[in-house]
Amino acid sequence: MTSASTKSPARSGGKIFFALLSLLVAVGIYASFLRFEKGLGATTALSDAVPWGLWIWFTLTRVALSSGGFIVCAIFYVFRIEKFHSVTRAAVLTAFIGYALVGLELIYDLGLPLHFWHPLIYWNWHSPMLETSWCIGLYFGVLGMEMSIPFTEGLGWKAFSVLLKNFCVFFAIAGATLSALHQSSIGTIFLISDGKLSPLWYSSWLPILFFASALAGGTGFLVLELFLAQKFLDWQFPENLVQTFGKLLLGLLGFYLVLWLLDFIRAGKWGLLADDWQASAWLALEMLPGVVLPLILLCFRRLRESAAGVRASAVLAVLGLFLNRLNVTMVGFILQSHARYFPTWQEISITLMVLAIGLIFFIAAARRFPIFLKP
Amino acid sequence: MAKAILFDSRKCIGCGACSEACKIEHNLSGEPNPDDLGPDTFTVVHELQGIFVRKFCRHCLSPACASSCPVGALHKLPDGPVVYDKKRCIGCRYCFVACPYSIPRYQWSSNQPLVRKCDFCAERLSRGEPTACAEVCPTGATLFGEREELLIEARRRISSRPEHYFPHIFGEKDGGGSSVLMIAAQDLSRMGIRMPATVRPLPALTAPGMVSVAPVGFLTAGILTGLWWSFKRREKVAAEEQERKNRRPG
Repeated sequence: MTSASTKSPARSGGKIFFALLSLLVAVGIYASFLRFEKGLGATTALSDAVPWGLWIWFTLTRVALSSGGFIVCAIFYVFRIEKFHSVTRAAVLTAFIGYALVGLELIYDLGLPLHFWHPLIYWNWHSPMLETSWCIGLYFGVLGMEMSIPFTEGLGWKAFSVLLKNFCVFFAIAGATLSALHQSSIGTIFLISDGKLSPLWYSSWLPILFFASALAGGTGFLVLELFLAQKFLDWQFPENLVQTFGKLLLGLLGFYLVLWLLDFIRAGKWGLLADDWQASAWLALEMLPGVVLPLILLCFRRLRESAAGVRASAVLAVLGLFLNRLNVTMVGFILQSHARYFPTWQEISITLMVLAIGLIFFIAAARRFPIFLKP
Repeated sequence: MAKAILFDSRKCIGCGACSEACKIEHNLSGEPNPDDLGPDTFTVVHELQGIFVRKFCRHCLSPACASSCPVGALHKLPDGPVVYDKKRCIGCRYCFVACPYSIPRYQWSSNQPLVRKCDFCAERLSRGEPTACAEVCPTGATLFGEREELLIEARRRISSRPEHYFPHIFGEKDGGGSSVLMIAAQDLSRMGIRMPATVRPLPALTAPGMVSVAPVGFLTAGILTGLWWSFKRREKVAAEEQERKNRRPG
C-alpha cells in the first residue's frame, strides 16, 4: 500500500521519459526518410575530406562500450568468480543491444546500404574492416545465443534454456576471443592512415591501445548502467560487487594508462605536444579527465569502496572513451587536413533515435525477462 | 611490363587540355579543369606558387585503397591501373581514409553514390593505347610509357639540368612507389600536396595486425580454455578435500 504512493511520482516521470524517447524516435524516423530519399550529401556534413563523422564515431565508441558483455562472462564462466553471476545477463544484454545498434547506425552511414551483406561473399582479407565485420557478426551470433537463455526462460520454454546453459562456457570463450580480435582490429583500421591521422594519436600500438581502452570504457559503461538499473529498475547493486568493480576499473584504467605512456615514451612524442597546441588540448581533454582523474579517484580506498566514487569514476571513464574515439576518428584527421565538419540535425537526430531505440529495448527486455538477477 | 605516366611540372603550361580530354574520354559533365577534383573531374592542373602541378590518382604499386577495401571493390591491374568495381562497393569510404593522396571523390548528391577517380584509362590501355591525358598533352609534360623507361628519363632530366629540378622523383618510392611519377622545380610535399609519410607500401602498415589475427585468436581461445579447466579442477579438488574432512570426524 505504501509502495503504491511512493511509485506514482516515479511513474509519471517514467511517462515523460517514454514520451521523450518516442519523440526522439519520431524525429529520427523523419530524418531517416530524408537520409535515404535524398542521400548522404543533402543530409550530412560529410565530405571527401571528412568521410567519417558522427555516426562512425558513435559506432566505434559503441563497440568499445559493449565490451562489458565479454568481460563479465569471462570473469564468471572462465575465472569462475561467483559474485558476478547476478550481472552476467545485464552485461550480455548491454552488448547485444550495443551491437544491434552498431549494425543499425552503420546502415545509415553506408553509401550503398542495400549492399550491406557484401562482406559475406566478397572477401579482401588484407582489410581490417572485413576482419572487424566478420568478428562482430560472429560475436553478435554468440550474444544472440547467450541472450536466448533469459528469453526462453522468460517465455517458459524451460527445455531450451536448460539446454543452452550447457554451452555458456563455450559462449564465454568464443565471445572473449572474437572480442579481443575485433576490439583491436578497429585500431588496425587506422594504421593505414600514417601521415593523415595526427602523430599524437597515430601509433603502431593502436590495436592494443584500442583493446585496452575498450576494456576500461566498457567496464565503466556497465557499472554506470548497473547504477541506473538500481535507481530505476527495482534492482539492488550488491555492495561487494560495487567494490569489486571499483578495483577492476582501477586495474583496467591503470593498464591502459601504462600502455599509453609506454607507447608515448617509446615513440618520443613529447616534442609533438608543443608543436600543435590544438591537438595537445584535445589529447589532454581525453587523457586527463577521462583516464588520469578516475584513476586518481580510485586510488583512494574510501572512494574506491563507495558507490559515489565508483560511479563518478565510471562516468569519467566512459567520457574518456568517447573522447578518445572522437579524436582518432575525426579530430586527429581534421587538424591535419584543416577540413571542417559539424554534424547536421539529421545526423544528430538519427544518432539520438538509435540511442532511444536502444534504451527502449533495454528497458523492455529488463522488465519482461529475467535479466537483473537477485544476488 | 607495367605502364606509367611521367608528369614533368617544368614542361606543364597549365592549359588544362589533359582535364578536358579526360572529361571527353570518360563522358563526364561540367567545365574542364575546375578548382578541384570532383565526382565528374578525375584530373585538374593546379597553379601552386608559379608552377603547374597535375592532381589525379597516382595508381600506387601497392594501393592503400585496394588493401583497405573490405569487399575488394578496388584493385590494381597488372599493367598499372587501380580500378573500381561498383558492383562490389558498399560505400563505407574506408578508401577515402586510406588514400595517402586524398584522391577519391564521392557522389555525395546521389542516393546511390559511387567512388569516383581516375582509372588510368584502363580501357584504352587494354587496346594498347596511351591514356587520353598523355595523348593530348601539347608540351609532353605528361608522358606515357613503361615505368622503368620513364624512371630512366626522369633521372636523365634531373641530372642533366640539376638547377631546374628538385632532386626527387615523386612516386618512385613514396608510399612504396606509384605508376604516376612526377618531377618538379620544387619539393611538392612542401607545396600543400599530400604525400605518403613513408616509403614503405602503406598496406605493410596494417599487414602485421592482419597476420596476427589467427594466432592471437587461437592463443586467446587456448589460454582461456586452459584457465577454465584449471579453475574448474581447483574447485573440484577443493570440494573433494572438504568432503574428506567432513567424513573423518563423522
